[in-house]
Amino acid sequence: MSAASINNSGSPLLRNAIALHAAFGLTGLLIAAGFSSLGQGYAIWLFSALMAFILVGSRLMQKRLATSIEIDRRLNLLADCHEIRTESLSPVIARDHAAQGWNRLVETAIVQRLLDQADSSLHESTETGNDSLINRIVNILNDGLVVADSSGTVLWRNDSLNALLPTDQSHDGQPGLLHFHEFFRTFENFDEQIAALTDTRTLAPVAFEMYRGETTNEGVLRISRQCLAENERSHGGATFLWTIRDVTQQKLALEMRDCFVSAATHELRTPLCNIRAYAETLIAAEQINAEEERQFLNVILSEAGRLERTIDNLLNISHMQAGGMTLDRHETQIERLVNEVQETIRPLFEKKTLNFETLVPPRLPDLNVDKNKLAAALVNLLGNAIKYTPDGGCVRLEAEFEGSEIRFHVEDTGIGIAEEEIPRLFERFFRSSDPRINDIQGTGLGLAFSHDVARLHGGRIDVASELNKGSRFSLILPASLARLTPS
Amino acid sequence: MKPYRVIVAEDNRVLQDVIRFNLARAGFEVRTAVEGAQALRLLEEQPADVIVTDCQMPGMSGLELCAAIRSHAIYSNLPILFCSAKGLEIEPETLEKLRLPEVLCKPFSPRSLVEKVQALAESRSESAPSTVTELVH
Repeated sequence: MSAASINNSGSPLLRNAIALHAAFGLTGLLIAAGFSSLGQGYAIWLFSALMAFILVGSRLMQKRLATSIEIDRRLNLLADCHEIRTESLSPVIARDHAAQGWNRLVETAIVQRLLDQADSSLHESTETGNDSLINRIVNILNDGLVVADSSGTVLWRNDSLNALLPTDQSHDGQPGLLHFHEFFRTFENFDEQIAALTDTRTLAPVAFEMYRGETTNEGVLRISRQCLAENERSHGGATFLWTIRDVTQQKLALEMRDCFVSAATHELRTPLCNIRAYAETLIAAEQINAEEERQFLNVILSEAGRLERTIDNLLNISHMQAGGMTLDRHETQIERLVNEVQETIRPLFEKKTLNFETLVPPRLPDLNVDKNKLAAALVNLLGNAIKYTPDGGCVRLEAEFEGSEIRFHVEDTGIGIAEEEIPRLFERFFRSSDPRINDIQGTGLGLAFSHDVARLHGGRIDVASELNKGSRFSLILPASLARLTPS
Repeated sequence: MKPYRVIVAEDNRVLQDVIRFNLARAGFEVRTAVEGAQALRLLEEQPADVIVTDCQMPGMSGLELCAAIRSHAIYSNLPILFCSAKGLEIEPETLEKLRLPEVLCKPFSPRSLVEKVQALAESRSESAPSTVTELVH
């Protein structure tokens, strides 16, 4: 803010003062002229005195009125301009009372004006900020949002919708021409849900699911509708907000969980049922020979072992799910590990006619691993190989130490795995959609467990498979786990 | 008196063995199958007085086996003891349609299985004096 010095020119107040002086002077002149009739000498003196009086008075008055004149000039400028600017509100440089009053007025006005400006700019920026923020939020949501009127006409939709429901090109992207239900024309249950998709009579929230195809895998969308505003009765109808959420993963997880529960129940119930039947037979049989009795007790023992293994697996799974699986590492001989694995899977071979071979080269190093978990991981891989290889096939377990890795290959001549299913093999609860495995029990957790065991040891599982030819699962551990013993 | 003939369809071989043991002890003539189609072949080879079948089996399931049996007029009244795991609900209409009056829930005691098979075999011989063998030949 610059202080302006007092400039007298052009002030109406000054002009008035000069006019007043002139009138005063003129009157004095006329009086002097009257006196001049009395005698020339008096008249000249009187006139001169009068002029001097006028001049001195004028100077004095000009000095005295300077501040008021300046303030007056500025007030006149303010009256003429359309918009009051901060620059036109400058303080006057003077010490008198009027100047102090003006300067206080200016200060107050300027501060107020600055405050107003700041306030309005803040308000503006917040307003535009809010708009773009809400827009951004609405468009990065995973859910698709559609606002439609009671006729189903789409009034607005967010960008996220395009990822869920590709825009129908026939409508040239003009929302006004599109009806909400048209998004779902290609959906499997469109005919079934058409009533729900077009229903605008019920104002209460509605939710249902739309399936892209026959199976959950192909995609499931959860559609919910809420009433945004109920229009006036004369117009009828209402405005609705439709929310479209992709729930495929949740639905798959639920299905897989159900499958798991049913498979786990079967795995637990079967040995239990067998134990009970044999024990009751032993109790009820009046005459039973020693050989049969021993045979029955062996069955009970073997079924109890099966039950125990199932429970161990379930416990491993629950540890694994909680992310709390830890390793209990000890020096382990590969040969002993393989022998233990062979012993565990022996009963599985009894039900099938398969060729089983193991290949463990001599002088393999000892490993610093969790023997029990590694054995369980290999049992799972072998268990799968046995399950999915038809009678007459071949299953092979091979250990190999080469360069930087120790590898355990489990190879079979079974039904194989479709290429597109290989990446999902290690997902929990995943089971192949191959119809040939429908009758084969499995929890869909064995491979996930084996994979976790390999990972915890710093290793991995590689899969090579060909449909109808067979599969090869390789559990690979880093050589850093090897304890090289002097040969 | 000729012993009653029973065909047992059960994929759990351990359970199948103990069922066979108990039925044989009770004087039945037992033949076993691990799935529906095999049981059906056994029935076609030689008639039976009672069929005992599990619900879930690889290949032809228990319900499919029952439907296949009922599709032959001569087997429309052949008694079938249907065994199913607890909690595995089967629609009452399905049971009625396949004329399965009762479902034996697993785990079951061998004694109750034997009693039920006995009752079914006797009810059949009382209600239908002419044997399946006579109908077939």
